[in-house]
Amino acid sequence: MKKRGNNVHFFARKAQMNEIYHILIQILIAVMTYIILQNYIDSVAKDTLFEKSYLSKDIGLLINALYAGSGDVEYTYVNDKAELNKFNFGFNEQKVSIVESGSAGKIVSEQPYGEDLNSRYSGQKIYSPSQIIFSRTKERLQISRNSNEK
Amino acid sequence: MKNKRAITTFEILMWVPRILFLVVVMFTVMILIRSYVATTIDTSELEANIFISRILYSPNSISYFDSDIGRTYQGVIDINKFKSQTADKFLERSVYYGDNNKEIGAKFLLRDLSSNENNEVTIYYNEDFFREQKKLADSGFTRGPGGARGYSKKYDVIISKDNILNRGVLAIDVVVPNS
Repeated sequence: MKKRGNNVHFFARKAQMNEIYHILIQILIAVMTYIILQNYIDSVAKDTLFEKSYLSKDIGLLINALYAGSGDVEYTYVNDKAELNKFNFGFNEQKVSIVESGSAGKIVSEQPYGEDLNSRYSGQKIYSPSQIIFSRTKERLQISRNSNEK
Repeated sequence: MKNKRAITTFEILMWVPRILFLVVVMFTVMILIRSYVATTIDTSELEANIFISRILYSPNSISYFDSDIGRTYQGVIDINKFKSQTADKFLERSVYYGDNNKEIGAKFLLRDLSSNENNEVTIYYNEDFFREQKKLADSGFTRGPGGARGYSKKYDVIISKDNILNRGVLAIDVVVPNS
């Protein structure tokens, strides 16, 4: 006797149940593949390692160039290609070090610069600035964030 | 093959190459994406040029410095500073990368053209490191980590000695390791 009703495709012995299951499994695999690839692309898009490397090299070379200048120099560093306020900046032991703000265990990007021992840096770490002000005189180099920031 | 159990087994076995192929395609897509993302920034030539500018512009290295007006004369080399026993130390003090400097090395060769004799003076910045990296740069190992690149520049300069000015040539060789 043939079974009647809406359940014929699922409970009939000769129904194409395998085909339906195969299609469901393929859909599931496709969705999982999409989720995996989407997560990977999101991680690549959110990755800040290149930004940190770029900023550290840019600022390191800037400090070298400031030391090369004759006379007193004051320079305000802004960057529209990278968001400075996402990072903390350190200037210790002849290295610029950059790490994301408010995080621990993140990768630090460092770039060395040649300090002039006749004109040493006498500042501190700078946290999430929108601008960085470099001021070089004969006696010292000063690095600070924009004083108008709150 | 009409046996349902056999058909099911066959279809399950066919999933194995399909999943393998899927994994290969996923890795290929990930590698393609990663290959278009830039991860390295090469600034070695710029570093070398800025280093040379710092040495030439600094009042505390080899250029002639007029203390009365506080001006450094780029292009005028003070031979007393150049020949000083502590010239290397002055250079390293004006561009200080730390006690164990593995960032840059340089050689400065000054030739006096006004004299018929072979009048050359050579000083170094980070001499041991320069000699070591120069071999790498000259051998062609300029790509990838562990290699080094060399940059050379020549300047026509005036050599100042006891208020006497002579023509000269300053040849600067700088080596910068890749990383």
